[in-house]
Amino acid sequence: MVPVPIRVLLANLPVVLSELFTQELLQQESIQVIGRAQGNINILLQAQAGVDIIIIGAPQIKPPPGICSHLLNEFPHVRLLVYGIEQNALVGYYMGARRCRTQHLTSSTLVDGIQTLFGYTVTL
Amino acid sequence: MPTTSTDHNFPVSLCIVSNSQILSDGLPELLRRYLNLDLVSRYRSDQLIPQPVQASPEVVILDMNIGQEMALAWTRWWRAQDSPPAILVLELLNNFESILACIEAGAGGYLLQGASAEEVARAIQDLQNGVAHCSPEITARLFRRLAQSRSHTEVGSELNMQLTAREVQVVCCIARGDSNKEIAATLHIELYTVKHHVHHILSKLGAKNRWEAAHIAIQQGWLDADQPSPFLL
Repeated sequence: MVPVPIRVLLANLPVVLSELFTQELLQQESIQVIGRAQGNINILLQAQAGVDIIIIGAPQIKPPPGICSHLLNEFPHVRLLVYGIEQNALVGYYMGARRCRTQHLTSSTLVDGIQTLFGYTVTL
Repeated sequence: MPTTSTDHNFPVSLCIVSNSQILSDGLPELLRRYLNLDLVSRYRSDQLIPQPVQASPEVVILDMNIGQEMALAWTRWWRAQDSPPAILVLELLNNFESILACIEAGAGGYLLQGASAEEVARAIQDLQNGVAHCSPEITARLFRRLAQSRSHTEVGSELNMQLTAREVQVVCCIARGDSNKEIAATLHIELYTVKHHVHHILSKLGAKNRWEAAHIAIQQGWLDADQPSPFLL
Protein backbone atom coordinates (compact mmCIF):
# COMPACT_ATOMS: atom_id res chain seq x y z
CA MET A 1 0.00 0.00 0.00
CA VAL A 2 1.36 3.42 -0.97
CA PRO A 3 1.61 5.68 2.11
CA VAL A 4 -0.38 8.90 1.96
CA PRO A 5 1.99 11.84 1.50
CA ILE A 6 2.20 14.64 4.05
CA ARG A 7 0.26 17.60 2.67
CA VAL A 8 2.23 20.82 3.00
CA LEU A 9 1.05 24.39 2.46
CA LEU A 10 3.65 27.16 1.93
CA ALA A 11 2.44 30.41 3.43
CA ASN A 12 3.65 34.01 3.61
CA LEU A 13 7.05 33.16 2.22
CA PRO A 14 9.04 35.39 -0.15
CA VAL A 15 8.24 34.14 -3.65
CA VAL A 16 11.72 32.92 -4.45
CA LEU A 17 11.88 30.97 -1.16
CA SER A 18 8.49 29.42 -1.92
CA GLU A 19 9.90 28.25 -5.23
CA LEU A 20 13.04 26.92 -3.55
CA PHE A 21 11.07 25.03 -0.88
CA THR A 22 8.78 23.58 -3.55
CA GLN A 23 11.76 22.48 -5.61
CA GLU A 24 13.28 20.84 -2.54
CA LEU A 25 10.09 19.12 -1.39
CA LEU A 26 9.11 17.86 -4.84
CA GLN A 27 12.02 15.44 -4.56
CA GLN A 28 10.38 13.79 -1.53
CA GLU A 29 7.83 11.11 -2.29
CA SER A 30 6.47 11.31 1.25
CA ILE A 31 5.66 15.02 0.93
CA GLN A 32 3.18 16.79 -1.29
CA VAL A 33 3.12 20.57 -1.67
CA ILE A 34 -0.57 21.36 -2.04
CA GLY A 35 -0.16 25.06 -2.69
CA ARG A 36 1.07 28.49 -1.69
CA ALA A 37 -0.82 31.17 0.17
CA GLN A 38 -0.10 34.83 0.81
CA GLY A 39 -2.07 36.64 3.50
CA ASN A 40 -3.88 35.23 6.53
CA ILE A 41 -7.28 34.90 4.86
CA ASN A 42 -5.84 32.79 2.07
CA ILE A 43 -3.99 30.63 4.60
CA LEU A 44 -7.22 29.96 6.49
CA LEU A 45 -9.09 29.16 3.28
CA GLN A 46 -6.47 26.69 2.13
CA ALA A 47 -6.14 25.15 5.60
CA GLN A 48 -9.87 24.33 5.47
CA ALA A 49 -9.30 22.39 2.27
CA GLY A 50 -7.15 19.88 4.15
CA VAL A 51 -3.51 20.22 5.06
CA ASP A 52 -1.15 18.50 7.49
CA ILE A 53 1.64 21.04 7.82
CA ILE A 54 1.82 24.74 7.07
CA ILE A 55 5.22 26.34 6.61
CA ILE A 56 4.80 30.00 7.56
CA GLY A 57 7.36 32.65 6.72
CA ALA A 58 7.98 35.40 9.27
CA PRO A 59 10.72 37.96 9.84
CA GLN A 60 11.59 36.30 13.20
CA ILE A 61 10.86 32.88 14.66
CA LYS A 62 9.87 34.38 18.02
CA PRO A 63 7.24 35.41 18.76
CA PRO A 64 5.33 33.25 16.27
CA PRO A 65 3.09 35.16 13.84
CA GLY A 66 -0.36 35.97 15.21
CA ILE A 67 -2.07 33.63 12.75
CA CYS A 68 -0.37 30.62 14.42
CA SER A 69 -2.52 30.47 17.56
CA HIS A 70 -5.65 30.97 15.48
CA LEU A 71 -4.69 28.12 13.14
CA LEU A 72 -3.84 25.77 16.01
CA ASN A 73 -7.17 26.50 17.71
CA GLU A 74 -9.20 26.22 14.53
CA PHE A 75 -7.41 23.17 13.09
CA PRO A 76 -5.97 21.12 16.00
CA HIS A 77 -4.57 18.45 13.68
CA VAL A 78 -2.50 20.96 11.69
CA ARG A 79 1.20 21.40 12.55
CA LEU A 80 3.01 24.66 11.90
CA LEU A 81 6.60 25.13 10.87
CA VAL A 82 7.60 28.78 11.25
CA TYR A 83 10.54 29.88 9.14
CA GLY A 84 12.30 32.96 10.57
CA ILE A 85 13.84 34.66 7.57
CA GLU A 86 16.27 36.76 9.60
CA GLN A 87 17.64 33.83 11.59
CA ASN A 88 17.30 31.39 8.69
CA ALA A 89 15.81 28.97 11.20
CA LEU A 90 12.78 26.72 11.58
CA VAL A 91 10.67 26.06 14.64
CA GLY A 92 7.66 23.76 14.84
CA TYR A 93 4.41 24.37 16.73
CA TYR A 94 1.68 21.82 17.49
CA MET A 95 -1.21 21.15 19.88
CA GLY A 96 -1.90 24.31 21.85
CA ALA A 97 1.20 26.08 20.58
CA ARG A 98 3.71 23.64 22.08
CA ARG A 99 7.04 24.24 20.49
CA CYS A 100 9.55 21.81 18.94
CA ARG A 101 13.25 22.53 18.85
CA THR A 102 14.62 25.27 16.62
CA GLN A 103 16.78 24.22 13.71
CA HIS A 104 18.95 26.09 11.27
CA LEU A 105 17.40 25.74 7.81
CA THR A 106 19.05 23.43 5.31
CA SER A 107 17.54 21.10 2.71
CA SER A 108 17.75 18.20 5.12
CA THR A 109 16.42 20.02 8.18
CA LEU A 110 13.46 21.22 6.10
CA VAL A 111 12.51 17.66 5.21
CA ASP A 112 13.37 16.31 8.69
CA GLY A 113 11.39 19.12 10.30
CA ILE A 114 8.29 18.26 8.29
CA GLN A 115 8.58 14.52 8.95
CA THR A 116 9.31 14.95 12.66
CA LEU A 117 6.48 17.40 13.12
CA PHE A 118 4.10 15.09 11.25
CA GLY A 119 5.30 12.28 13.54
CA TYR A 120 3.84 14.20 16.48
CA THR A 121 0.46 13.99 14.77
CA VAL A 122 0.74 10.25 14.44
CA THR A 123 1.98 9.51 17.96
CA LEU A 124 -0.18 11.97 19.90
CA MET B 1 29.96 34.83 -35.38
CA PRO B 2 31.22 36.58 -32.26
CA THR B 3 29.37 35.82 -29.07
CA THR B 4 28.30 38.36 -26.53
CA SER B 5 27.59 37.88 -22.86
CA THR B 6 23.88 38.22 -23.61
CA ASP B 7 23.99 35.42 -26.16
CA HIS B 8 21.76 32.62 -24.87
CA ASN B 9 24.43 30.01 -25.65
CA PHE B 10 27.02 31.84 -23.62
CA PRO B 11 26.58 31.17 -19.89
CA VAL B 12 26.29 33.98 -17.37
CA SER B 13 28.88 33.55 -14.64
CA LEU B 14 27.31 33.99 -11.24
CA CYS B 15 28.37 34.20 -7.62
CA ILE B 16 26.05 34.00 -4.63
CA VAL B 17 26.80 35.51 -1.23
CA SER B 18 24.37 34.14 1.33
CA ASN B 19 24.33 32.39 4.67
CA SER B 20 21.35 30.31 3.59
CA GLN B 21 22.35 26.90 2.28
CA ILE B 22 18.98 26.37 0.63
CA LEU B 23 19.30 29.67 -1.27
CA SER B 24 22.93 29.15 -2.28
CA ASP B 25 22.34 25.60 -3.46
CA GLY B 26 18.83 25.87 -4.82
CA LEU B 27 18.72 29.27 -6.54
CA PRO B 28 21.17 28.43 -9.36
CA GLU B 29 19.08 25.37 -10.17
CA LEU B 30 15.91 27.46 -10.29
CA LEU B 31 17.57 30.13 -12.42
CA ARG B 32 18.75 27.55 -14.95
CA ARG B 33 15.12 27.23 -16.06
CA TYR B 34 15.42 30.74 -17.47
CA LEU B 35 19.14 31.32 -18.04
CA ASN B 36 22.24 29.59 -19.28
CA LEU B 37 24.11 29.82 -16.01
CA ASP B 38 27.58 29.09 -14.81
CA LEU B 39 27.87 29.19 -11.03
CA VAL B 40 31.38 30.41 -10.34
CA SER B 41 31.35 30.57 -6.58
CA ARG B 42 29.33 30.66 -3.39
CA TYR B 43 30.37 32.50 -0.26
CA ARG B 44 29.05 32.80 3.25
CA SER B 45 29.23 36.33 4.61
CA ASP B 46 31.82 35.43 7.24
CA GLN B 47 34.10 33.76 4.71
CA LEU B 48 37.33 35.34 3.58
CA ILE B 49 37.46 35.80 -0.17
CA PRO B 50 40.48 34.07 -1.72
CA GLN B 51 43.00 36.55 -3.14
CA PRO B 52 43.07 36.78 -6.04
CA VAL B 53 39.61 35.56 -7.01
CA GLN B 54 40.18 32.67 -9.41
CA ALA B 55 37.36 33.49 -11.76
CA SER B 56 35.54 36.78 -11.55
CA PRO B 57 31.78 36.47 -12.01
CA GLU B 58 29.70 38.76 -14.20
CA VAL B 59 26.92 39.02 -11.64
CA VAL B 60 26.92 38.64 -7.86
CA ILE B 61 23.67 37.94 -6.01
CA LEU B 62 23.88 39.36 -2.52
CA ASP B 63 21.39 38.04 0.02
CA MET B 64 20.66 41.08 2.21
CA ASN B 65 19.98 38.74 5.09
CA ILE B 66 23.71 38.68 5.77
CA GLY B 67 23.22 42.12 7.37
CA GLN B 68 23.56 45.62 5.99
CA GLU B 69 27.15 46.26 7.04
CA MET B 70 28.33 42.95 5.67
CA ALA B 71 26.37 43.48 2.44
CA LEU B 72 27.90 46.93 1.96
CA ALA B 73 31.39 45.60 2.65
CA TRP B 74 30.93 42.83 0.07
CA THR B 75 29.44 45.24 -2.48
CA ARG B 76 32.36 47.64 -2.12
CA TRP B 77 34.84 44.79 -2.27
CA TRP B 78 33.41 43.41 -5.51
CA ARG B 79 33.12 46.85 -7.06
CA ALA B 80 36.78 47.52 -6.31
CA GLN B 81 37.91 44.57 -8.44
CA ASP B 82 39.65 45.10 -11.79
CA SER B 83 36.63 43.88 -13.72
CA PRO B 84 33.85 44.50 -11.20
CA PRO B 85 30.76 42.32 -11.47
CA ALA B 86 27.24 43.74 -11.37
CA ILE B 87 25.65 43.38 -7.93
CA LEU B 88 22.07 42.24 -7.52
CA VAL B 89 20.69 42.64 -3.99
CA LEU B 90 17.98 40.25 -2.84
CA GLU B 91 16.03 41.75 0.07
CA LEU B 92 13.66 39.08 1.35
CA LEU B 93 12.47 41.03 4.40
CA ASN B 94 11.33 44.10 2.41
CA ASN B 95 13.58 46.26 4.55
CA PHE B 96 13.82 49.54 2.67
CA GLU B 97 16.36 51.15 4.98
CA SER B 98 19.42 49.93 3.14
CA ILE B 99 18.38 50.64 -0.45
CA LEU B 100 20.22 53.93 -0.91
CA ALA B 101 23.32 52.74 0.93
CA CYS B 102 23.53 49.67 -1.33
CA ILE B 103 22.99 51.69 -4.49
CA GLU B 104 25.63 54.20 -3.41
CA ALA B 105 28.01 51.33 -2.71
CA GLY B 106 27.54 50.15 -6.29
CA ALA B 107 24.60 47.73 -6.40
CA GLY B 108 22.94 47.73 -9.83
CA GLY B 109 19.80 45.80 -8.98
CA TYR B 110 17.51 45.47 -6.00
CA LEU B 111 14.72 42.93 -5.62
CA LEU B 112 12.20 42.43 -2.82
CA GLN B 113 10.36 39.43 -1.40
CA GLY B 114 7.76 39.53 -4.19
CA ALA B 115 10.38 38.65 -6.81
CA SER B 116 10.18 35.22 -8.38
CA ALA B 117 13.10 33.24 -9.79
CA GLU B 118 11.99 34.38 -13.24
CA GLU B 119 12.32 38.02 -12.17
CA VAL B 120 15.73 37.33 -10.65
CA ALA B 121 16.76 35.85 -14.01
CA ARG B 122 15.41 38.92 -15.81
CA ALA B 123 17.33 41.19 -13.45
CA ILE B 124 20.54 39.26 -14.13
CA GLN B 125 20.04 39.70 -17.88
CA ASP B 126 19.35 43.41 -17.44
CA LEU B 127 22.49 43.86 -15.36
CA GLN B 128 24.50 42.03 -18.00
CA ASN B 129 23.21 44.55 -20.51
CA GLY B 130 24.17 47.44 -18.27
CA VAL B 131 20.59 48.20 -17.26
CA ALA B 132 19.70 48.76 -13.60
CA HIS B 133 16.86 46.61 -12.32
CA CYS B 134 14.65 47.40 -9.33
CA SER B 135 11.34 46.11 -8.04
CA PRO B 136 8.57 48.62 -8.83
CA GLU B 137 8.16 49.38 -5.08
CA ILE B 138 11.83 50.37 -4.91
CA THR B 139 11.55 52.56 -8.00
CA ALA B 140 8.52 54.32 -6.48
CA ARG B 141 10.44 54.99 -3.27
CA LEU B 142 13.45 56.29 -5.16
CA PHE B 143 11.20 58.68 -7.11
CA ARG B 144 9.60 59.91 -3.88
CA ARG B 145 13.04 60.41 -2.34
CA LEU B 146 14.21 62.44 -5.33
CA ALA B 147 11.04 64.55 -5.28
CA GLN B 148 11.52 65.23 -1.56
CA SER B 149 15.12 66.30 -1.94
CA ARG B 150 14.12 68.53 -4.86
CA SER B 151 11.40 70.24 -2.82
CA HIS B 152 13.85 70.75 0.08
CA THR B 153 16.27 72.44 -2.31
CA GLU B 154 13.52 74.67 -3.65
CA VAL B 155 12.39 75.69 -0.15
CA GLY B 156 16.02 76.46 0.66
CA SER B 157 16.49 78.74 -2.31
CA GLU B 158 13.18 80.50 -1.57
CA LEU B 159 14.32 81.22 1.99
CA ASN B 160 17.66 82.40 0.68
CA MET B 161 15.89 84.73 -1.74
CA GLN B 162 13.99 86.32 1.14
CA LEU B 163 17.20 87.35 2.92
CA THR B 164 19.44 90.13 1.70
CA ALA B 165 23.09 89.38 1.08
CA ARG B 166 23.99 91.15 4.35
CA GLU B 167 21.40 89.13 6.28
CA VAL B 168 22.85 85.88 4.92
CA GLN B 169 26.27 87.06 6.16
CA VAL B 170 24.79 87.78 9.60
CA VAL B 171 22.99 84.44 9.86
CA CYS B 172 26.20 82.66 8.87
CA CYS B 173 28.03 84.50 11.69
CA ILE B 174 25.28 83.42 14.10
CA ALA B 175 25.68 79.85 12.90
CA ARG B 176 29.40 80.09 13.64
CA GLY B 177 28.46 81.00 17.21
CA ASP B 178 29.36 84.70 17.04
CA SER B 179 27.75 87.15 19.45
CA ASN B 180 26.16 90.36 18.14
CA LYS B 181 29.26 92.31 19.18
CA GLU B 182 31.51 89.89 17.29
CA ILE B 183 29.28 90.09 14.23
CA ALA B 184 29.44 93.87 14.36
CA ALA B 185 33.24 93.72 14.52
CA THR B 186 33.50 91.14 11.74
CA LEU B 187 31.18 92.96 9.35
CA HIS B 188 32.32 96.47 10.40
CA ILE B 189 28.81 97.62 11.27
CA GLU B 190 27.13 99.09 14.34
CA LEU B 191 25.79 96.81 17.09
CA TYR B 192 22.38 98.41 16.61
CA THR B 193 22.47 97.46 12.89
CA VAL B 194 23.31 93.83 13.75
CA LYS B 195 20.31 93.67 16.10
CA HIS B 196 18.17 95.13 13.34
CA HIS B 197 19.40 92.44 10.88
CA VAL B 198 18.82 89.66 13.43
CA HIS B 199 15.28 90.88 14.01
CA HIS B 200 14.57 90.79 10.25
CA ILE B 201 16.23 87.39 9.81
CA LEU B 202 14.07 85.81 12.54
CA SER B 203 10.98 87.31 11.08
CA LYS B 204 11.74 86.23 7.48
CA LEU B 205 12.78 82.70 8.39
CA GLY B 206 9.95 82.27 10.86
CA ALA B 207 12.53 81.27 13.48
CA LYS B 208 11.82 81.59 17.21
CA ASN B 209 15.36 82.54 18.12
CA ARG B 210 18.84 83.02 16.65
CA TRP B 211 19.73 79.34 17.26
CA GLU B 212 16.81 78.18 15.16
CA ALA B 213 17.85 80.60 12.43
CA ALA B 214 21.36 79.18 12.64
CA HIS B 215 20.02 75.65 12.21
CA ILE B 216 18.12 76.72 9.10
CA ALA B 217 21.32 78.27 7.70
CA ILE B 218 23.19 75.01 8.30
CA GLN B 219 20.42 72.87 6.83
CA GLN B 220 20.22 75.06 3.74
CA GLY B 221 23.96 74.84 3.23
CA TRP B 222 24.52 78.60 3.41
CA LEU B 223 27.69 78.10 5.44
CA ASP B 224 30.95 77.53 3.58
CA ALA B 225 32.37 74.07 4.14
CA ASP B 226 35.50 75.51 5.76
CA GLN B 227 33.51 77.61 8.25
CA PRO B 228 33.22 75.70 11.53
CA SER B 229 29.94 75.94 13.37
CA PRO B 230 29.33 75.01 17.00
CA PHE B 231 25.93 73.70 15.92
CA LEU B 232 27.51 71.12 13.70
CA LEU B 233 29.29 69.47 16.65
